[in-house]
Amino acid sequence: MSTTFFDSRLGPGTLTLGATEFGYQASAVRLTPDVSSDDGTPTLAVPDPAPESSVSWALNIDAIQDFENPAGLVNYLMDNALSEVAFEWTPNTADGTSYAGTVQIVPMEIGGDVAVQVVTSVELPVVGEPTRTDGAPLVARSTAKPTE
Amino acid sequence: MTTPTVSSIAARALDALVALLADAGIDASRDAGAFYPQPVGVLVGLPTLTSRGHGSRTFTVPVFVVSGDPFNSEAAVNRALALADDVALATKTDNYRPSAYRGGVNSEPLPCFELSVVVTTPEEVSP
Repeated sequence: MSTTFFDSRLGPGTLTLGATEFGYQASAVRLTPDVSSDDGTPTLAVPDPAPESSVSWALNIDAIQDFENPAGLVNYLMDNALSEVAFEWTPNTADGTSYAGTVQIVPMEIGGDVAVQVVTSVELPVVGEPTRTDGAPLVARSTAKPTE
Repeated sequence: MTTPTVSSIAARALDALVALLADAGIDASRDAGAFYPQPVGVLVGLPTLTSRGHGSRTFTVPVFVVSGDPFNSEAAVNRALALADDVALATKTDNYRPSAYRGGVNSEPLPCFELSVVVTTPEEVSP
């Protein structure tokens, strides 16, 4: 059995909210799971039950502020607060793996320190489950050998 | 024979910085060979890649506000300081420092104020 090592890194990639591309503003993007678990109730028949867990997701974005741009990310989030929009995130376009779903828009903090580039974080709750479309990993492609 | 045009993202970042300064009414140059500050001039230096965004790259670029006259008179210092203030405001930069510039046709270092400007450029220009 062979093992292939992967070192997945972001960028250049894309991040679309609704029909608008905001990838160039983002300095970090994460699709973050939140797992909540409760202990199962032991019964006589099942004395050691599995935990009762549920998973929810959020799309976390660290973005360079662009409040000067009426159509920029900061103002898009402000204008569309609490609406649900489709998102598609491709961490690395060369690979092509992408994640898609629906997020609820919430506004992000506006402003920060004077005369420096301001990077602000926002967490957009994912409605339901995100879906994944697999790409073609670079390492696997570059090391692929014909089957003997 | 034609020379193919090569435009790296770093070159685009420098061009964007020159254009930003031009919009603010400041004539800046990327061409150190033809740079001749008289009495003062603005030269955009070479970029340092400092970070990558999801679809962008961030560079730190030195910008030199160079005086053709030595800083041995209040007038020369004030003239360079006024331009340095304008450059700092135009580039939304919160720093400059006195330095010396050596290059171009000048054999001796010229007094200058050096700003460190952060420029972020998208990976690809939108059509």
